Amino acid sequence: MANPTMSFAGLERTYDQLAQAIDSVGEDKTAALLAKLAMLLAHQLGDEQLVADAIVAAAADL
Amino acid sequence: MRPDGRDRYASLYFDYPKFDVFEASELHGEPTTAKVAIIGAGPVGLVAALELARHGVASVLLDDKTTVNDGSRALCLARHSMETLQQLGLAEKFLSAALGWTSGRSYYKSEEVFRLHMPHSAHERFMPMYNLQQQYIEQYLAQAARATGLVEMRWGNAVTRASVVDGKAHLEVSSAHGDYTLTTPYCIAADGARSVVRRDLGLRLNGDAYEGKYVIADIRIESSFPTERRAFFDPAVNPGATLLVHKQPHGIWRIDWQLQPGESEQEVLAEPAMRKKITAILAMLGETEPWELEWWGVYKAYTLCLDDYRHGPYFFSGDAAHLVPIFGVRGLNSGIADSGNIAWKLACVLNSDAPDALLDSYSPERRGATMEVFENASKSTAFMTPPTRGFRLMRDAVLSLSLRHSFAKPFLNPRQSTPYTYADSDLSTQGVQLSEWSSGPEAGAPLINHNLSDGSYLLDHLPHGFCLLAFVGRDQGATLTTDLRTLSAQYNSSIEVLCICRDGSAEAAIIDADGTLFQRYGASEGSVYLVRPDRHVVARWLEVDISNAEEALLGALARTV
Repeated sequence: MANPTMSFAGLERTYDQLAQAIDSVGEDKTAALLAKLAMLLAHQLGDEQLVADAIVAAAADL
Repeated sequence: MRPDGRDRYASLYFDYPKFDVFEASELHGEPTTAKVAIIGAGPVGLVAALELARHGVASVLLDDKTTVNDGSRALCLARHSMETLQQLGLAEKFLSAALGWTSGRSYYKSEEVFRLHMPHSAHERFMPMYNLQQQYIEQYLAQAARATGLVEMRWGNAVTRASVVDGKAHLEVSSAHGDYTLTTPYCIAADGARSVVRRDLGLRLNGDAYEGKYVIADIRIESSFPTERRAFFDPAVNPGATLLVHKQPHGIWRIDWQLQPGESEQEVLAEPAMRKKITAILAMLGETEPWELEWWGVYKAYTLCLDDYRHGPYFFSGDAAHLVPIFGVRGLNSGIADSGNIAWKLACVLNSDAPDALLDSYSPERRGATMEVFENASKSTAFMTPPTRGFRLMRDAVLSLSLRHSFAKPFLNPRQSTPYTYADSDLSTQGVQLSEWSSGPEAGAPLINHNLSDGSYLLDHLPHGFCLLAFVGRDQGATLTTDLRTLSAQYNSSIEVLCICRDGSAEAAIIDADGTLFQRYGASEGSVYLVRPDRHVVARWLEVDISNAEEALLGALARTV
């Protein structure tokens, strides 16, 4: 993975915001929310290889 | 509860003392002489009594029991609490009995994913944490309280009603020798989560209750595993939930595990179910020795507190004022800090050095500490027992990532108890030279310890009241000390000067030959720290001016300047 680019405090706030977003859309729309989020972040990141590596990392240890 | 066939006080390792019911002098028409009553002889009430005694103030300590608390209760004393116990002259007693520790491990499924290392260095006399069963903590404190000759231990004297009459604390007390009333100018309510004082004054705890319940069990087993904190997330023996393991003295181990969703509390707490579960947990831990069950109970996490810790003559301390989750060892330690805070203030008021207004600083200072505790405790509790589906999904995602990615590991930090800094307190004086300080504790922060060349530590040398910690040069030592002593002589309370010098001068109590103490306190010759009796810094000056020191001292006593 790339070097961390967000502080731990920032990661914590992201964690909370994601948890709240998941709760607000409900169970049946959680997967869609996270899939859209992944595409948005991939677009922002602009590096196909980094995204591919992250997909492999996310799929591990499920 | 205890196993079937063993009575309430039949512990495997602890002999419960049996105290005589105290026969109060009020029953014979004699007036109460003590100015302070303390309700509750738990660790918080006892530390308050000992702190008052340290400042020469007598107290009456009431408790409805005639022994110490039973069952599995607090077990972790943080360094800051040990430093308070040292001031009470009890460091050796506690060190000889407790198990010190600095680290912990967290596991996800069966893999270790996080190593906890609490701040520790050669400058510390005490380790970050010590495990000791609350029964011993109370027993040692009660013995010490009796030895002061200033604490009247009223065992078996239950406060049945508390009220305010003419601005004083008015208590109705019931005992086997008869019922009586007791009136004192001040009262510390350290009567726990079900505080009678809180109820009678019509006060409510406000805050949150958390999802999830924990079973707490103490067992005895021989094991060579070191004293560490172990946390298991989603272990095979408790799928989808958490498990905590702590070592205690006398071969006792504390095991806490979260009830799984849908599990019935009644079924889980039945003794055969309890034994089966513990057997499975021990197998997972790789422990093979025979074991015995000591005690078990159930626990739910809360962050609840009073809106104000002072109500007229009453000061709420410990669980009577605030309930905190167990994760992070905050309950006992914040209660001890409460008592350390209110005791010296009461002593200064009773010594006529400070107006009653000084006591108004207790609530904002300790409630500020509670708020910081809640913030940390909420985060660690939300991680241990996620409150919603969203938080659960995020927690599990972070745990899974923590197996291979270090960026996710800090989420597993239990955010252990740390002392609070009274930076915003009216008693603290924030100097104008703040930016010039290169290091050292700021105003409101507790002193940091330092290992001296003779093998002793800085905090070993603290006087019992206020302290003017003066960093002096060879020539200025005598003049500065005389000036500071002239200042301190104007007060009834103890205010002493402790000089630190790089080389041997007549006035120097502490020699800092290698200059590391100067360095760690960011001091140069002429720098002074004004320190409260509870070790928190009131103010500091790179170069002291006596008028500034006097102003800060008046501020710390809530006297108008």
